[in-house]
Amino acid sequence: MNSHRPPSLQEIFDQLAQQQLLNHTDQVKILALYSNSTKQSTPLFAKILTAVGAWLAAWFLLLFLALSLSFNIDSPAWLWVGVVLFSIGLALQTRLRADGVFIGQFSLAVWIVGQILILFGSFQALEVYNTNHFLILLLIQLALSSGSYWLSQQFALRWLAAIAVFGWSWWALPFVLHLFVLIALLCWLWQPMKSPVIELLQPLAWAALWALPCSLLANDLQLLWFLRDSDAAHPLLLWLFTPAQVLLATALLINIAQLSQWFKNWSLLQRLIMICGLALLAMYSPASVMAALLLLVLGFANDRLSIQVIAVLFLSYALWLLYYTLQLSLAEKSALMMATGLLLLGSGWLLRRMMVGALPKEQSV
Amino acid sequence: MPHISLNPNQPAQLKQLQQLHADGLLSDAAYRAAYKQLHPPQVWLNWIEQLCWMLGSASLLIGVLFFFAYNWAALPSMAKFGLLQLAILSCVGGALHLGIKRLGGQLLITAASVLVGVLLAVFGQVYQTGADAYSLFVSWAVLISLWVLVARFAALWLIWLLLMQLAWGLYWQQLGQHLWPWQPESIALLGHLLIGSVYWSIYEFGQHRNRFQPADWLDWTQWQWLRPVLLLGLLLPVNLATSLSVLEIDPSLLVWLPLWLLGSVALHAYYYYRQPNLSALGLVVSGLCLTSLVAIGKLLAVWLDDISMVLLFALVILAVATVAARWLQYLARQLRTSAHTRRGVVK
Repeated sequence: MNSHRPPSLQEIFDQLAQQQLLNHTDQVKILALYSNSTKQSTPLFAKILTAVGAWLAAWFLLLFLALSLSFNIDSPAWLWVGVVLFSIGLALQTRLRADGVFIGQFSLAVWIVGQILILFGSFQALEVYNTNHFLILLLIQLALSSGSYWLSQQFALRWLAAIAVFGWSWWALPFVLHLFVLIALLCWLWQPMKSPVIELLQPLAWAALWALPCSLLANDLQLLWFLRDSDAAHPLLLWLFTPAQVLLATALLINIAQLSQWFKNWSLLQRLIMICGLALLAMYSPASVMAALLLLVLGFANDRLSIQVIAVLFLSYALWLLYYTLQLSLAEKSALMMATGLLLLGSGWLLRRMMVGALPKEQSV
Repeated sequence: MPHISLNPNQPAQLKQLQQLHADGLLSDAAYRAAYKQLHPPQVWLNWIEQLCWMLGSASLLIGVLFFFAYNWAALPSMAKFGLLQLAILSCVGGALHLGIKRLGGQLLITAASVLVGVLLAVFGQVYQTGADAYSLFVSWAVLISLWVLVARFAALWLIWLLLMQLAWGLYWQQLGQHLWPWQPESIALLGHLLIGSVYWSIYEFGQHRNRFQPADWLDWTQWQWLRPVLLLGLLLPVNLATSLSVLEIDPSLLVWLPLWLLGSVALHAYYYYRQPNLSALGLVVSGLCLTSLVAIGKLLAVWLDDISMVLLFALVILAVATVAARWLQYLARQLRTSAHTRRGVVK
């Protein structure tokens, strides 16, 4: 199926040496350092067991606290207990980082219990003011997770923060947006890889992470009240589902424009046209399909099967959602599907022809 | 600190280059150049081509299904059968034309296999056979069995396995448990375990045989992603049955407990000595941990009061996870050392 034989490291090093990107001394140094190493990072299953163990233990610790402390359910004491436990967990993690799996897990469990209690206490406190719980809880969650990660630099915390943010977004945002959030989080998680593809997606990652709370904040403050026209038979901008989405898209695109190097040499007009084009694309429902495809590319570019599997699942869901919501009859949908299928099969055939055509030239070289 | 091992003569992996780059041993420019060698345009084109084939086939197939769905009520019975059979024949014809060893051909055979199920469902609908649902899945699995063997496609094997498991589950739910009322859950899980064991054994036999004397019909076993899936088919029933019998403290515990223990130890030994594989070991160890925790939790709940039980159980969870993580780290080191030794011997 795939005729390309992956080159060996030696072949890659030789090629780099030819391009004067790696000298012989560095090659020898690399091979001496790594070739006989029997040390290895913690296996994936060990990491998963550690994290799952801590998470599971946290719920039982929480149950223990609930049974042994006789506070009322709406008592502010829960918040303070949470703060204390969160601080203890974090202190243990930062101080005793290298002191064994058990203490690491224990501190993680205490940290999780603390975080749950802080969120629970905050929720109870916010009930009184009848305000937007979700936004504030989200910001607290982000602050706790990112602050902890910043202090302890533990990969498990990075994952927990990412999962928490994605969980919130799944609950609160439309499908198109949480796909973008998923991409953003995956970019953030895999940031240390420094792959060329990740680098390109990095601005998107930061933009989405920033835009999420910003857009919800804007929604909360009713900044975009003028776009709301729910009484009209044909709302002003039908395709803009909620003001939150508008601001998310805007924040996302402004961030892309500011942070990325894609438009470095472009004129202002060119940038504006590109941003408007992207805004329209992002707001249109096939954006979810695009986001899933983007995720698939990300997985392939980084040789990560797990990302590719997630992407295929999302792609299936996004395509189903897209065709389900199309305002067409079943016959028209069927014709559209078949046409798409034929177009893709034709593209595959053309690509095959192109590659077969290109092969003799390469071989002759 | 080296986190990876490099053998200069083996195919390079992206994660090795990423690690070298992260450790500052490859400059940005060198990393980019190395990345281009590992993922040249030809690899991307191949991947896009495969994606086009897969998405295109799926879209076409779904489009055809939508077409039937739209016109279904208006179509006479014979037209329904005719169209479905025509679609099956087209898929098989296309597969033969493209060649059964190519991805396109394998995908078309898979599509034909799915359409056989649709044909059987339509048959049941038109003639109102009143047969139990399991018979549809049994017939479906039997009818496509030759294609599964011929196509040698991992995804089709997986579909076959799912059909068999589904058929057994439905058979037990609709008929079996009434014929054999003693320990119905245990017998159902035993059936799932036996089916899972057959597929897992074929896969492992194929893996073993491919190393020495590759056989065409076992081509599909070279797909590594299938191993954890098939292993789960083995581990889930045995762990679930043991956990259930522990929770209910029923007589089937006498069967499941030794089976679980011996099975887990045997699988552990197999994936350590015969077919070294850390992911498989991780799955086996995870199963052992979870079922052990269920048993310990049950004992603690019987012996202690609620407050002491939850606190002690939280600590037990941490202890079990710690032991398991340490054990996996040890296994990883051992497997790594033995791989180095083997390489040294070969040199």
